[in-house]
Amino acid sequence: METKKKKLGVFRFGDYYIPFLYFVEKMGYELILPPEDEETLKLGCQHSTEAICLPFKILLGEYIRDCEMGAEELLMFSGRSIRKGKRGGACRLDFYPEMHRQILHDLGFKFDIFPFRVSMILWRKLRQNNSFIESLRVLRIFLESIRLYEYIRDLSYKYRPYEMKRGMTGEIYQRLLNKLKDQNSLPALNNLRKEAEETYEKMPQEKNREILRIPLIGEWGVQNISALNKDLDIILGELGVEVRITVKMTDFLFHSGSLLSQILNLIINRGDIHAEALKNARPYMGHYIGGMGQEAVGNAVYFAQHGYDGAIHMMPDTCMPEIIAKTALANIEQDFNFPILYITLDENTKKEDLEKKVGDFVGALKEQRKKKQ
Amino acid sequence: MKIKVGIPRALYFYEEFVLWKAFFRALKIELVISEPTNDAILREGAKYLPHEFCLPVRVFVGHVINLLEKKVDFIFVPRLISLAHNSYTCPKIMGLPDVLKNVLRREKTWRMLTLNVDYNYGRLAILRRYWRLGFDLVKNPVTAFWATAKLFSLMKKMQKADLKGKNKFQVFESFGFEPFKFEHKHLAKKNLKLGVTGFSYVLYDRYLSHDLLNKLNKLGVEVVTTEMLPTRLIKEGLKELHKLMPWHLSRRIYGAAVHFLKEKEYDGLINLSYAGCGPSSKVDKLIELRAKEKRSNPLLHLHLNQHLHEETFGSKLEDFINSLKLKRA
Repeated sequence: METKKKKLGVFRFGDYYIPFLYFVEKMGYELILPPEDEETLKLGCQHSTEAICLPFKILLGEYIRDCEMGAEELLMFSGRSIRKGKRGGACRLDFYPEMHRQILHDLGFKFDIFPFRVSMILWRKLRQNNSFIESLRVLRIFLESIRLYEYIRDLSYKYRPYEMKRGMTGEIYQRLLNKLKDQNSLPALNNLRKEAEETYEKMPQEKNREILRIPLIGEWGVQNISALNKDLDIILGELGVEVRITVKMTDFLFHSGSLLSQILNLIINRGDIHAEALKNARPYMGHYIGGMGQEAVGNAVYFAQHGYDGAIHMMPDTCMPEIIAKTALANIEQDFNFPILYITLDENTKKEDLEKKVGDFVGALKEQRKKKQ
Repeated sequence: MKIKVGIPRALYFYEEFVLWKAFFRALKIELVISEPTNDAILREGAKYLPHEFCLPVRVFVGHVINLLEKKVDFIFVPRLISLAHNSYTCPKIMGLPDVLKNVLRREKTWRMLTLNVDYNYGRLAILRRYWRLGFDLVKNPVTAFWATAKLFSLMKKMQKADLKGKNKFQVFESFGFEPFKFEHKHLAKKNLKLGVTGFSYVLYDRYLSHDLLNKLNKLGVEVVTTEMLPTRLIKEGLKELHKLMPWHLSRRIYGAAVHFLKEKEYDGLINLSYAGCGPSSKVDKLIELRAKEKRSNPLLHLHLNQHLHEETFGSKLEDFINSLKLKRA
């Protein structure tokens, strides 16, 4: 007898939902995806207090949309800190699920929580429908496809400043993402990885363009969710800047503190990529301060030492760790003569304002470079 | 010459001062405490920190400047990471020594005494750090050891008193520290009993809280704060949550708020919070949701910011109390 599939509502988190399509299906759920429009953020703002940070609001909006579409279970971040081996997370992310639960219950929705974090809970859910070997394979494919997604995105950042025709990279990127949706085996993922490299390389390019290298540092939610940062990465790419996102989903998954995530980190990932950042941060920020505050400081030092042109620090309004990080960043700016642009995002941020702000910053950096030569 | 150590009268001063006093006294070190918060201190602090910081943290910097003017040798700014097992303080307090180092770097020459206090690694680790601090100050391992031993015995005594059901106020008073003095404590006519929740560093700072507790007393209200509840009752209130919040003080506030909202002996709850406080933004919402439940006492949120007028504050308070009095009659 075939049982009815339970409906699982997920979050979008930029384009990070794509690896979930296969994974959620394999776990025996029907996936519910919230639509991507401005209504979602508006709903989230309406039902949360004003001073809560932006990622919380958009996630709440997405969960409300999910519930309206009949989701019976919700995928929620059950993050401790992002740091490996350290307990705790004083950042508000730690308390998202309980807040979301209470607010949604107050609105009259009924649902269960699926805590999302690479841990034994995830493993047990997988094992319910799959054999041991199969679930190991599914987990592996899931994590690999997240990494492949990030790789495809990083490649687009690398090639966008050189593109001949505006929007070419974006088209290729979308095409590759559509292909990623259908992949369900490791060799297929490997093939796609190669294909991505080739298609980007084949794209008509103007290789002798002078470009700037500007990484994004700061809070990971606004770095990754394009609905919140208004496609800042694309704006920068078209201005002739090679962007780099410093904190990704994999950093969260592989360093969420559970034993399973640490083992997988040893097998699949290369290790703690932020270890060096934390070492750099020590003179300015001597201790873990929750969220990605210390990492932001350390990364800024790293980029300043390695000849990057500047950095853009992003944070949602009222983000606690990043506010502290800013006091250190001001000193790094002076010590290394390293320009940093500070962007604080809230729900009223307009794309035009961002474009202007970033455009001015990039223009100033280009001029500075000309003077040096 | 005696060493002078300055302690800012802000933030966790109201929670931990008993311990600090005992420790430094055993080391035979003179303690200098900054003046109670006033306009000048606020102005000084606001100069160094941007608007994004909450007011209590900005005031803290003002207190540090105030101490620098008093010519102390060191300023004691411990990094309080965790004050109870499996809980944390707010990031702004965790990063306080770094913030001070960063913003006051070019201003003046000053020396900071700091140590990490993290109960997640056990009490022994904390005592070791205290010993190290004492040793660095007096250069005498035996004196440092005795000071640490004194600290340990005090910690034990406080824990015991806590388990016996004494509240924090009583515990502090028995060790000779009064966080707050009520001016009108012995007014005869008291017809209302209100619970007041809020961070201890706001509530007991007469400047930051607009002297809320005394004002309430004057209006003929008996006030019960979070610190006047025994830990047992606070923990009972926290049972309603599926998952606890990571912040130590916010936990206490929520637990106490549930108690004040639930028990019929209280007429209502006043919750005090400052604009720009991260944990409050969430806990306030939770308290609001809790107050919506059936048969809970009325709630007044007092959301403070720097530009709040004294009059609007007073009138809001009086309206709330008048409505409660009407309800009673």
